[in-house]
Amino acid sequence: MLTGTPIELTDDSASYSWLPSVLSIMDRVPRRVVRTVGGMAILATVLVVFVGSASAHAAALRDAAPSSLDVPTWLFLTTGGGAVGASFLLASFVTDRVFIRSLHEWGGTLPSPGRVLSGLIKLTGVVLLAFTIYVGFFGPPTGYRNFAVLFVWIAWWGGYVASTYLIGNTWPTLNPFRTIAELFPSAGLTYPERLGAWPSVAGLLLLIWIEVVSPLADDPQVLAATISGYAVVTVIGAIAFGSDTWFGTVDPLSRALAYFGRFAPFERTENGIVFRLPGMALSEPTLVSGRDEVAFIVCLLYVTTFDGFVATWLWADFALFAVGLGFPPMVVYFVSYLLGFAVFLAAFWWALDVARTYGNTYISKDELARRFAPSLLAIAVGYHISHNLGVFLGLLPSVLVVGAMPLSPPQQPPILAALPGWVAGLELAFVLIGHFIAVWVAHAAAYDLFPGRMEAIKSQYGITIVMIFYTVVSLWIVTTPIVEPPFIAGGEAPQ
Amino acid sequence: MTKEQITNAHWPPETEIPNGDDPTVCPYCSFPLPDDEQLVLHVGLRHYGECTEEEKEAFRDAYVEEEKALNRFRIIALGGLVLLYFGFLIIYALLAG
Repeated sequence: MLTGTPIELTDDSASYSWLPSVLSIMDRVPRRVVRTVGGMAILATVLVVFVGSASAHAAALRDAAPSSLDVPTWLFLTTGGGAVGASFLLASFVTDRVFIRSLHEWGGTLPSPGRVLSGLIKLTGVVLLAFTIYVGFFGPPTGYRNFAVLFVWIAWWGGYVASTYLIGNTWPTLNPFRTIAELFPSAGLTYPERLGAWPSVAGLLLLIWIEVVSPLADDPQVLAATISGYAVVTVIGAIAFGSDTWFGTVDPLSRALAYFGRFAPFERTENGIVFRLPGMALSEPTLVSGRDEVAFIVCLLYVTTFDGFVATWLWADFALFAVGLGFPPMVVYFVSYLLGFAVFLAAFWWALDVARTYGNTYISKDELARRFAPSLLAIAVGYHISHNLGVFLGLLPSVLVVGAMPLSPPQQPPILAALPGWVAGLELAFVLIGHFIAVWVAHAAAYDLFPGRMEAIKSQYGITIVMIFYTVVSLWIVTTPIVEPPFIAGGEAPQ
Repeated sequence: MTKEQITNAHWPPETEIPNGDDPTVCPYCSFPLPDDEQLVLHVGLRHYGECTEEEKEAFRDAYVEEEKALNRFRIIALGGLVLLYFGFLIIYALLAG
């Protein structure tokens, strides 16, 4: 939506990454209060994880946290960074190659579901898509009363997407765009191999750009129009190049969910459904095959961060400064968006340089990138669940009630206003667990690549530093007070 | 995925030798390594079934030798953990007090 006209975005937008203005639905739940209390509970969780055996202290802290312990931001942030650093040190104690490999190889195979079930799932996907678009265009115009908005952001993005990494990726079967495209014969055009997965990187950047600058979570009609546009592009693309090529290579959504699915404990393969420990398949050498796919994974992590970052005072100050110098607001947003991505790529690239130097190896940086990038998926998974768990639980009653009477929903759909404090704690625990799994996956990949165990440990220095830094930045974004992003929120500069 | 595939499907990884470097090359798979110690470990780990008795002996020695360096690192890592733990504990105690 680069029309130049100011776009309406509500106060709470863009802070809860990917699910921005849906949260304005929750005006009745003062989110900053939830957050402050949550921040404290989160801190207690960090301590519980970090302090571990000192349970008496932890319990006392947890009890005391919400009321009396005033923890400064810098300490909260360094604790998070310290916990990630500690996880690297702890992982470095595990030097038994056989044990490391055994964790990643544990698993087995189950029979696949039958055709009838697959057919039913496909039909459900198409019906839900058609219904969502219909209600988006013709249903109530208010976001929190419209089934399309609630279904897409709460049920699908918050709930279903979580199932792709917590259980297994069912998107290839459910994907309604694929079902529709497969009704038509493929035009059989040859996909230019040299493009690789780059179109999916561009597609992901574009989707999140639209999400950041337009009221996708507020305005059901904008949402329905966006889904329709996406459907048209996707179906035409899939018919032109064939479903397998399109959804396996170009479609950013399918790619993201496929990567999430590699984290999951279950996965459908030709031989049936395999099961394994969560995250342990991320160390497989063939998961990522080139720079394009590495860039996609880094991008997946980056867009979440950017979405949260535009709702901080730091961004507001910077945007006001840059626009004050005479740059058009949308240019400032767009250039910063791309520059931020470049910074993320550069940080990852730098970490690989360190790995090559300290790892005492001739293995190329590209190869190291392919082997270490999948560990970032565990972090992305941790952040996804942490961003969405509370919102999902809180608005689930709305989804059900509005879903039952989508064309005449109640004026105030029910919400779970008072989520117990431990939910916020759980959210932060997931961020840290994601980091721990990431540290472990990179550790295991290093053990597979480097003949020397000491070299394997040393190769992780750079990646650990980048992860610590990323944790600190993300925790800061999550806990810093939400500021209305300037210029996309009605065009007025905040005071 | 069988165990065989996970460990050897993607071997050897792509390498890149800086100009002027003279790599030691693995006699079994031509994988380039920067020094003999890495080569001995590589041969023992990747080609244990096919290598000679001397190479196995050298591998076992190098593996034990590596253990010393690992132990030194473990002591430093443990020190780091203790420092992090008590560092944060003290800071939190000061703030709570």
